[in-house]
Amino acid sequence: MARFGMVIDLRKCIGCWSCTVSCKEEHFLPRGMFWNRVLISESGKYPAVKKEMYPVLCNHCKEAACVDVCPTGATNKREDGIVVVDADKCTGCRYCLIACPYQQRTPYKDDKVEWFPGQGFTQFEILGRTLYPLQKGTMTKCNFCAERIDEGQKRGLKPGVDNDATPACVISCPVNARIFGDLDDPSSKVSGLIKVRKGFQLHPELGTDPSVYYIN
Amino acid sequence: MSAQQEKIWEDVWVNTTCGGCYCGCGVRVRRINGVPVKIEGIPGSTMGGENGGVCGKGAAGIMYYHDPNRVTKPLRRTNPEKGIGVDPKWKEISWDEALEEIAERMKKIIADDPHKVLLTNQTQRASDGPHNHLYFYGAAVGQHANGCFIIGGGSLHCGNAAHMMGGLIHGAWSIAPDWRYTKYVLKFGSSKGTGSGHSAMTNARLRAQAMERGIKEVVFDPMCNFAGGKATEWIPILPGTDSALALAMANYILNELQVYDAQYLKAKTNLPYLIGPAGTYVRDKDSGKPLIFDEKEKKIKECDAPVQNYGDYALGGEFEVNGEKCRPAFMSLKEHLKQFGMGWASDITTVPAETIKRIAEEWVENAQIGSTITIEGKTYPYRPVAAVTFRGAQGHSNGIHQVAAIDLLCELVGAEDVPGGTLGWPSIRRKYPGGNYERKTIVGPDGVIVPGVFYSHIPWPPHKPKVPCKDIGCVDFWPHATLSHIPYVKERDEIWKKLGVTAKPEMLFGIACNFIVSNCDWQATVDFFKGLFVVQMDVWVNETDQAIADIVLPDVTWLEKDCWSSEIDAYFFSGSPSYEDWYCHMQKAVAEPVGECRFFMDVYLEVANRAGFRDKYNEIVNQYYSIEDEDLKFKPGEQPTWAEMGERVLKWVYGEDADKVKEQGYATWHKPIEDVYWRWEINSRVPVYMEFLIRARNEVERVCREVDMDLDYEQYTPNASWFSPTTYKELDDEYNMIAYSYRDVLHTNNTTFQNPMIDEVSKLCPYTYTVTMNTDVAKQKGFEDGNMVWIENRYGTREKGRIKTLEGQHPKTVGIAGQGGLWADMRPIAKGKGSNFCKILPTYLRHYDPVTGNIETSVAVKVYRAKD
Repeated sequence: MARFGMVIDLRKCIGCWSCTVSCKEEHFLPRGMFWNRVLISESGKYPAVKKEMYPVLCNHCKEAACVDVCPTGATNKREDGIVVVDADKCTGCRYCLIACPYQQRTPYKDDKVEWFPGQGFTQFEILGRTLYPLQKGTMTKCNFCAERIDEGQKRGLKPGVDNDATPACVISCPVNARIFGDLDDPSSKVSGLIKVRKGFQLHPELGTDPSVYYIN
Repeated sequence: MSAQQEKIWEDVWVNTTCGGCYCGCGVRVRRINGVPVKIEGIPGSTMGGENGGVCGKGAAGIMYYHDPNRVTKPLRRTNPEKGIGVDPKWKEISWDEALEEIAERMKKIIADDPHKVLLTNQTQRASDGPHNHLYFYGAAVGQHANGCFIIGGGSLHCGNAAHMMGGLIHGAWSIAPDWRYTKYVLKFGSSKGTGSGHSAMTNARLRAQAMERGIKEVVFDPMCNFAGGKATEWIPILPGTDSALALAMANYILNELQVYDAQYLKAKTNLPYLIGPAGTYVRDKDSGKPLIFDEKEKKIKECDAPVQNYGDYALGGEFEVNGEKCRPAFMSLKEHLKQFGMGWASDITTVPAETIKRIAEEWVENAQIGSTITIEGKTYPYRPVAAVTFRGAQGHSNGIHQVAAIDLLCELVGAEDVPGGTLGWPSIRRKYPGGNYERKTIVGPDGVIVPGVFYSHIPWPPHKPKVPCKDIGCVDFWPHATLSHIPYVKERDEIWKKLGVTAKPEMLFGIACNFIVSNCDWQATVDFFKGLFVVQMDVWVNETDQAIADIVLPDVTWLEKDCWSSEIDAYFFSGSPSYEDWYCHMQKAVAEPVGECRFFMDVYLEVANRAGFRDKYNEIVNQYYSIEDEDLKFKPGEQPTWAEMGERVLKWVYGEDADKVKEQGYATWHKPIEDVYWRWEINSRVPVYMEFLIRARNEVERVCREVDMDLDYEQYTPNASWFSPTTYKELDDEYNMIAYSYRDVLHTNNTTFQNPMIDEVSKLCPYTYTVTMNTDVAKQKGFEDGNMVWIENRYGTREKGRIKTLEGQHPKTVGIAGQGGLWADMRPIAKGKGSNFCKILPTYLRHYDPVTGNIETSVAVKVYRAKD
């Protein structure tokens, strides 16, 4: 079975926020909720300065702290390594929010939030709530676009190769800074990049073994 | 979470062209149950990002359609008073009433003098509308040039100098590195490849591939953010001083290293042209053509005489023609550059002399002068170094010399329009196979190229500066101003009087412009425009509409627009760069227009029909698209709609494939290598030695003396030179910092501020809505992150902002991203976000580049605490 993962090429990323916005449209996420973000900072002292820019999302850790602490089994890991939340089982206890060292869990607590505050829901929001309903009081997070992967694979498409079976943030990246594929397949592009370009994980010392790698 | 498929009765993707900025990337929009829900790139097209990629700003485009704050019915101001803070007291009116009033008033005004009507649009709409049809419109009412075109959203911050020089050097609107083959890129105040500039995502994709190959990118910029933050090496520099650095590099290369591409200079520049003691060309008595000396034949020849080997052209020596002593222009340049030493440049720019020297050496080393490369069986000089600049470096009162000095680096090593060098793009729009409509450069007088299309003032051949001026732009007097700056200049009334302008404007007819807040001193702009009958077509009531518009007509967003001419007309902004397939793109409607919104072209046509100048417009359209087929031509008396016009023009442009191209929304086809490196196919020359400026100066100086106008005509000089920007003359102990603006990848002028998806992401970025200042400097001033400050210029105008400290910021500078600080009541998302840089720009004539009309986009300021 595959273990899906992602490689983010920091040298290519220009910080255009396509991943953040595309993710929101793909899942009709309400205003204020992010499953993809870009962390921006800098290092060094003038004039020897370097801008630091890290696109972040759920790491779909192999040793996922959120899965371990979930009391109801709502947060679970699929066989393909994707960590998902079953909203029907989630009680919104927020153990996962505290346990996740990467701050990638977002509670859906207010279903009245509008894109245009005080002006009612747009057609976009109304349709989104019909097609992709979030359940108030549950935890949400990036699901590696599991629905795209599942639908795509049913049609014989390959995640990371065919757009329709690949996470939205990956295909929307205008500079191909995000690469998706099977970490357990040594011949996959992600495995090759991690090996050749010395891919690294965020906070490896925590022992979570993230499935999102970075190269620079 | 998965989609509830049973609730979906429609799920389609529509190929179209993004309207999020002037780049116009190919995108596809997903429509579910009639609702636009998602925007991606088109995997099969190279017009934009990688394999379905699109930038965040483009992806967020659906929110323009969904915005409940849109204008959906024509509005008329009922409050006769105009100004900032005045309630217009809008009243809804019918389309017929609005159109009748506009047409009637326009008819009367143009019967008196067509130059009394001003036209304007804004650059966000360039990609999603027929940008240049506005010029046809002006011509159709009888305007003689582009002097009635008022700079709008892109504003005075547009690239007057960059465009003029792009036209002169490359026959193009812009430049970019040849990412595919380059190894070493110098960027001066430009974010090409890192999110801004024309064809932004195409360039970003190509740059990313180049970075993967391992190129070096050196960025000179006051800030380590978009371009600097991604560079291999960021070198902080003071705003507007780039030319000092480039001139010192050029001097070092030419006079100390003495390594340059002599073959290129002889073949492709005017540096072998002989000049007399006054600096002007020595010309053939009969033909009037400039002369060169053929060293092999020991003979004076006309500059375009056929020669077997360009190497025979002399770059040195003293000659005599018709009793007049002369020498190649190259000699003048070489001597001129000697004054620009490393220490001198370091003092001006704050870049250490050893750094400038090292970069010059790296530049020459990477240029591989003498090397060649064979592509598609054709062999070209291979010069894998590119120096590019855009809005940042060129937006100063010394703009023309900033661009000329940076260009000089490429010229010296022969890195212009060759594999790996700086490419003018797009210089050509090649016709679709089996179709018509082609635009390419031709060789004009003195061997200089004439662009196939230029939106505004054609850069070559320049007309002689003359008075009286017919229009308020005074373009008769400023032949090198791409777009006129004069309507925004404080002394405009005096200038108009001195230059003989009689056509006092009475009406403004614009598209979505927000020029009150996007140019300079707001009040100076309001004062001028409030007396006019102002009609705007807009998606919202923006700040300009609220302050001065009489009628606001509801426009569609790009998601509701069927604009067949999108890429045909906008190729100058979004054409295929480098060695990639040619492409063409449509803009197709994804959804029905909201409310009573109408596409502005249909409105323009309707007004032309009613005001009686449609026949002239039809005639100009026939000429513009070079329509020869009598069945397709627009004839007198015909009044087709925009869509009906498209049926005919597309048949002409795409031939038998018209329906196919329209259906798919785009097409691509092979670009032959001769189209990429076109310079080697024509016998043209770059006017490195800007002899035309001597001729212009003579006239400009004469008029200035006659009418007592104070203009820095010293800048009308042929060799790229150093002129200190006005800002530095206004720095003192009190106004001791330099404020500048930069383009944030998320924003296009100020339109994007009303998009809630962009707004929430802007809040995640530490810099987008803040005022950045060097960490140590902020500490010295007692500022901390989050403190509110005033940024005030010496003329008493100030803007408020929230401090964000940054190590990657030149200590002398303060950075503000674009055009925030907005206040229009009907744009609630935009209201109050960020800070407005434009308002603190002083706008006296001395703040403008006297040649190209660029406004000085840095300003001496004092920064002090405001109440939080």
